[in-house]
Amino acid sequence: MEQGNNIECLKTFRIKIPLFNEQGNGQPGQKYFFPDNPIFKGKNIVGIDANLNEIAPFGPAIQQGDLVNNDGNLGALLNFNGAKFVYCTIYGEDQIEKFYNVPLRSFYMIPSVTAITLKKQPRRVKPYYGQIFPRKSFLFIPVSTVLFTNKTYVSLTFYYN
Amino acid sequence: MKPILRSYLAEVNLGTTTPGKGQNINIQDYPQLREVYICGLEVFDKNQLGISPSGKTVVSALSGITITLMDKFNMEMIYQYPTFDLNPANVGGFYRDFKPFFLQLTKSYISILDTTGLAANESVMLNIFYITAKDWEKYKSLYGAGK
Repeated sequence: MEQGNNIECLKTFRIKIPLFNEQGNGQPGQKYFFPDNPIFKGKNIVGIDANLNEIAPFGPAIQQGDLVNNDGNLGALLNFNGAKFVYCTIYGEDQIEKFYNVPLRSFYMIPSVTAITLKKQPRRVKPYYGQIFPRKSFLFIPVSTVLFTNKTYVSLTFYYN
Repeated sequence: MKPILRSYLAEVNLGTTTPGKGQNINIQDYPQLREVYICGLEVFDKNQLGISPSGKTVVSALSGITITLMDKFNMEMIYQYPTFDLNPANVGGFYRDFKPFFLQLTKSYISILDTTGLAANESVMLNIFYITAKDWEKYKSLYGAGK
C-alpha cells in the first residue's frame, strides 16, 4: 500500500485516544495516554497518520464507519482546528522517548489553502519508524488552551510491516 | 522522505522584546539533542500550531526567518535556509531531509530578516529528526551516508 510517494506498508491499524477526563473535558496541561492495546506488540511502524474531522473550507465532516463525529462514549472526533493544540509523545519498545511533542496537526499535513485557491491535494504520511510502547505514549494539551470543553477523541492510523 | 527514527520538538523564543532586522537568535541547549546526527527538519507557524507546549504564542509568519545549522566542526552545513520552505504546509506536506551530519545545536541559530508580523515572546517551532550517535552505525546506510 502506498500513499503519496513516501511510505510502503503491508497493513494498517487504527486506535482511538480519548482526550477528556472524568468531567468530560480536555484539561490543559494534562497528558492523555494511549490505550494499552496489544496490537502494537511486535509491529514495526513505518508511518503515522491522524484522522481528523475536517472543517470548512477543507471539506465536510467525516461520517463514515466508526469515525462518527458524535460517538456516545467518546464524543466528537477532533477537528482540524483542535489538532493545532495537541502534541503527541511516543515511546519506543525499549521504553525510551522516541518522538517528543510531535504536533498532532503534522500527522495531517495538507498544504495551506484559501477559499479562493481551494483544491484538495494528496496528504503525506509521515514516515515515523520503529516499534512503539503505547503505555507510556501520550497526547498533551498545553496550558492556556481553552478549546476542549466537551468530550473529544483522537484517531490515529498506524502503518506497519 | 527517509524514515524518521527519532524526533524532538525544539522551541526558539524570540525574546522579551521584538527582534530587530538582522538579529540572530541562538537555539538553546536540549540534552536530548546532544551527540546526534540531524537528518531532517520541519518548522511550523501559527497556522499549524495554536500554542507551543510551553504555552507561548507561535509566530504568525515564517517568511522573514532563516535558519543556520552548524556541525561539530563549526561548519555552517545549512546556511540561512528559509524556514518558510521548511514548513510542510508550504511544500506539499513533505519534510526536508538532509544527508545526516553531527549537529551542534547550541551554535545553530535563526536569523530575523524581516520583522513583519513578529512580536516579542513568540516562538518558532522546530521539529528535528535525528539519529543518536550511538545508533549511527546501525542506521547510517538508510540515509546514504558512510559509504
